[in-house]
Amino acid sequence: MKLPSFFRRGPEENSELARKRNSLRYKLFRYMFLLAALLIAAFFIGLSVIGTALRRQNSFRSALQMQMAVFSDGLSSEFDTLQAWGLQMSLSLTGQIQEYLDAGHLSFSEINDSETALGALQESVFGTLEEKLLQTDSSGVFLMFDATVNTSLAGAGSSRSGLYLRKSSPTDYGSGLLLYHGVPEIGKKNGVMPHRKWKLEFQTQDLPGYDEWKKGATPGSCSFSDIFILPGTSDKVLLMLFPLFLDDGTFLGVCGFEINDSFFQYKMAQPTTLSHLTCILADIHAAPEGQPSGTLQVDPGQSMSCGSTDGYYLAPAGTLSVTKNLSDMRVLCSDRITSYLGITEKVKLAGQSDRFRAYVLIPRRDYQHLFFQETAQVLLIFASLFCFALFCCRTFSRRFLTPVLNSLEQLKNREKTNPEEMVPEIKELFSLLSEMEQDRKAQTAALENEIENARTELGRINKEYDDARRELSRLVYSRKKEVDPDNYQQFLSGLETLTRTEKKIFLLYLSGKGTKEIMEELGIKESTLRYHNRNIYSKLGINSLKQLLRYAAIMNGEESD
Amino acid sequence: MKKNMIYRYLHMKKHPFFCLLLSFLLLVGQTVLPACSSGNHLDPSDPVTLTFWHVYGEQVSSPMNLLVQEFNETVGIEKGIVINVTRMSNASDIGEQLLAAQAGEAGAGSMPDLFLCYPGTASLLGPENLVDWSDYFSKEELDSYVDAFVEEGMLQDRLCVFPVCKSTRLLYINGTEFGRFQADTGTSYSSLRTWDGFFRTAEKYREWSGGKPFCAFDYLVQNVDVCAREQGADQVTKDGYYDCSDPVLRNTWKQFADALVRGDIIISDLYANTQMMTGEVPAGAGSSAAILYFNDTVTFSDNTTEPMDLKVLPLPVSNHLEQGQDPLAPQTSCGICALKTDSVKAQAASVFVHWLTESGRNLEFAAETGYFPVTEEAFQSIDSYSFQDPSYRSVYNAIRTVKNTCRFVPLPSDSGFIEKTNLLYDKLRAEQASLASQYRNGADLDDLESQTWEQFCSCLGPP
Repeated sequence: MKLPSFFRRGPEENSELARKRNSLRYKLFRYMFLLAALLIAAFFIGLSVIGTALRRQNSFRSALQMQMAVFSDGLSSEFDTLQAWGLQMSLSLTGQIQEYLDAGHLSFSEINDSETALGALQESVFGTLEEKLLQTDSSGVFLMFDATVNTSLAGAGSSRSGLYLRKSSPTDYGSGLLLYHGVPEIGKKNGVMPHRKWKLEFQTQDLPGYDEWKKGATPGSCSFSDIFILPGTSDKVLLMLFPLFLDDGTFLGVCGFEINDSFFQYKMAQPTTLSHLTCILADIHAAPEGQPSGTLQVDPGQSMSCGSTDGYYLAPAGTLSVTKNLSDMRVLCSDRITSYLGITEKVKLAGQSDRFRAYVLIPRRDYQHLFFQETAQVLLIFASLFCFALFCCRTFSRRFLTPVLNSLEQLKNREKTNPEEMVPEIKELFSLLSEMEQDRKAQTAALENEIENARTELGRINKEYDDARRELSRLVYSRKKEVDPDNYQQFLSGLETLTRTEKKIFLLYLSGKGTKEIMEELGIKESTLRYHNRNIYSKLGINSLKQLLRYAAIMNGEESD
Repeated sequence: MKKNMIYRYLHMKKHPFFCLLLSFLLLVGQTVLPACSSGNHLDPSDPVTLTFWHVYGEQVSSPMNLLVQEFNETVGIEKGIVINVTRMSNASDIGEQLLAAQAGEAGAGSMPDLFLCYPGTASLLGPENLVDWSDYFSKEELDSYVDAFVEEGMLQDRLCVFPVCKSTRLLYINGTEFGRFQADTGTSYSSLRTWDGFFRTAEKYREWSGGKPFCAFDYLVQNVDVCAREQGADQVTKDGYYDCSDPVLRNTWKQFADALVRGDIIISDLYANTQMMTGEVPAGAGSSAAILYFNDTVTFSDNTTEPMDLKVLPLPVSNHLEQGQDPLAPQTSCGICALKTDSVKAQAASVFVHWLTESGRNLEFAAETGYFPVTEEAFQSIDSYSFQDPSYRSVYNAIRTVKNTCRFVPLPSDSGFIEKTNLLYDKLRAEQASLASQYRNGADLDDLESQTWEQFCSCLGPP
């Protein structure tokens, strides 16, 4: 057999195929299969979306932890690098001061009250400071000599000569520098104009904790100042301090770097996937660890903050209080306006592990919004699934039932139905019902014929019966006339005298039974029967069975009349 | 198609279940996708951030930053706007940085969403790249601002530079030093009312002080410009260039340049106030907003200090005013622009600028910064405003005098004008010590002055 011919079907085969295709069973299977497939697909899609939503919540926590890792690494890198530069700068400056003193055969204390010596020293170190400021990620650099230009002034004990250079804008590496402290002519000579709030000398009382720091300073050490507002400005600054000592232990002063809040905000801005990120570096040395939860606070004056590289930055409004410690170093915090969810850990900066704490925070409403959004999404997905399932059920049931209902409706309305449009099962049902109807009609017609025949036969039988009765009456009448009335009267009166057995035998005779049959029925012998016969004959006054039957027939004829 | 199905479902009374389900879905959709179809683009739960460059309080405590903080903590929280100040500098620097950022120069960073700049800078940035504020302010709202200030911000029929506050130029005097000078020479503050008197005083001070210049000028060209206009040079500039053939302009320049060559005055190193606080000069001609930056004391090289006792006077006026003519006063200062990005940021910028320039706030801000406000109501109220700080009181007394006796004139703000004047200042600053030295060594004043005129014309004259 060739293959094409296998598929080539005759009209009957095609019709059979169409019938199968349109059959209720096939349709129901097809729709249910499609429904199941669609629901499974929708379920998996929903599951995938829900899974994504749930994963997002987990990834949110991971993102916070990752952000903290990036932030603390960035901080460590920034301050460790500055520490290295600072130590190198302190060595370099110490060398330059030593050189100057040696060249002038001066002791360090002799530079007090000497405009010339202090000016010359500032001039000699200016280049080094400027270079370090431009080389490093810092907003300012300074060198404060432990000397003053005028010891006779009131407050000279806290007035210290030196240079303090600042970047005019922390966001531009190419922007100009400003002279915050120092001899203005030296600054101008080097293209550095005085700051708007310039002062000639440092005031050590403006550097919080300076006197204590000086007492504990050792060669090669690195320390941090408290975070404080630089006088005359609104800049919060954190200074890294590197003491300068001669070999004989003479304290020369201190140099270091400044990180101000604007620079910190710009430099430490975090690349992030979290929206509305706020990162804080808090100096906790004044607020030691171990405070019970709820009282741990981040003083805005003792912290610096930054936002994200996408431009978002909103510093906490006032004091930030930790209201609840959660697992995984997570905390709930709030300031005057906003509640935050975040993560916190101590960070080791420039070798100091207990001095600073980093916070990575996002507004709590963001998390709640995310959570709510995800819940709403899940609800929406379930509602959509439910709706979809409902729609499918409705559509499929309609598509399945509508042809059936249409067929029934057409049948009900006795409309002419196109067989091609009908569901095969219904069509077959209709054929069957039609055949049964025809059979029923045929049977009814046959029964009606039989009834008619029976009626005809009944009429005939009745007629015959009536004829027989009339003949019987006529015979009774004629026989009665042939019978002796006395004998017949004796017969009638003799009947009452018959015993029970004799009556039985008498009736059996009347019913047409023979002697043999009577003997079998009554279980008596012939002699016994003859005995009873004699008695019966004797009592009835007859002498033969023929006479007995005749008298009995006359008696029946009289009774029926 | 989908809309028809929804319509059909909504109107199928026999399917209330579907209506309920649809309502639920719409409700959830509304929650999940908030503000998608609303006209209000701002969403408090997802605040928009606007980076902001401004000029108020460079290097010092900034009143604008406090206002921004207040905005962020009130209206910003309520409406979903965060203003992030990413640069504070002077208008000239911001102008340069904006152009560099727009050109994508290396290290220039990205353009801010909001910034203060001169109309000339805005013109260079392209008005089409900036938000037209008239789309966000009704006519009635705009009518509440001083017309001249609004007009100054119009570029190609678009209101690109919105006025926040305006400044004029004033003369700052170190009262302690001038008191000594006055006691020795009998020169009084009244001698500083006219330019002739000013230059005589400056010369006398240099002689009295042993060679110290009397005054540092922050914006010398503006003073020359106004003085020339007062003398009738109405058309002193054309298309952003000075008419170097104008004899009035030439004579006016000579008056200033002679003083510069003699060493009576100098171009300030950066700002006059820093040279006043180091005792380098006893006077400075600068912006009224410079009051924000003055120290209370003058510090000398031996670390001794004395009180500044700051006196603030209106700028001198020309001696050759025509009868009945009001003296002129420069009206300067930049306005606020918004980079045209998306409608959300534009709307957020509009909310911020509306808030910033409300009359009461505008007056208070101006009074803290040495500016004058821009709304009609606040502008009139400045006369009765009470100042506690004596320096500020002195500044606003001078401003009131200027406001009530002078006519404000906007100074040229054509594209590149600021840059050209800065170039001239750089040249003069570099040469002024040498010029004074040559003059002291017998060089001819007119020759030296002519050199400065050539510099002026090469920088600001027609190409």
